Amino acid sequence: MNIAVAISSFSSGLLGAMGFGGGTVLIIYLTGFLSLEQKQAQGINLVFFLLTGVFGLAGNIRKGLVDKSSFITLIKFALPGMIVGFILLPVIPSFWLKRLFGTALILLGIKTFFEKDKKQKSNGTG
Amino acid sequence: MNKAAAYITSFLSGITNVIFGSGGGILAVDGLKKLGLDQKNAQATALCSTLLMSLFSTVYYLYKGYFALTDTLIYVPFGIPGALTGSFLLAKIPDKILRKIFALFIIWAGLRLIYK
Repeated sequence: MNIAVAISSFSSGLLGAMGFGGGTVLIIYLTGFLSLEQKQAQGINLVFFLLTGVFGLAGNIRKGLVDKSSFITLIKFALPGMIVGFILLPVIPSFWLKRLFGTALILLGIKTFFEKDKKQKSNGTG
Repeated sequence: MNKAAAYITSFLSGITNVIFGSGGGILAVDGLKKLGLDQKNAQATALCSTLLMSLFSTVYYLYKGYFALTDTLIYVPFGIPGALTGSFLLAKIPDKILRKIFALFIIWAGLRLIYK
């Protein structure tokens, strides 16, 4: 049990710090193995992400990887989305929550996998 | 029109951050790339954005009583070394490899959610 906690927490922190939404790993563990409620697992994941993600953030800012104006643009459009989320969340049953999310992930994953390389600015080989 | 698509994706990233408590990051990366960022910068900026969104979502979840802060304690000690490792790795791995790994991971995650 403890090894599973360690592995899922470590991987989630790793993926989260890389901007991957690694919370999925933790949520899958919490709901799949510990049978927690979806919304409870999501809440735990949110706090986990807050506490672990800041470590990734510090490194990224130091290396100059964060684009301030894009950040502001994204937040500007994300905030109304969040308000819609606040209204919708209480009325969505867990069953549909999981399957909706899973479907979206698969579609996005397929799209991302087959994406062509973007024309790089002079950023070196990465 | 990439700008419009970027704005819609950003909006969806906000919804998903609240509704799913995660996954907003994946859409955030996508939206930021539509705004012109490369994979690495998009992921770093997405992290920054989703941290802010998650802060608001956390307050909301606690207010609604979906979970308690003490529920989270056991997971954090392992997550922090993971996060430090991830931050170190992000600057070292080429974009193309990063994207493939990312894509395979989220396909796997999606399948798990649907079939579990």
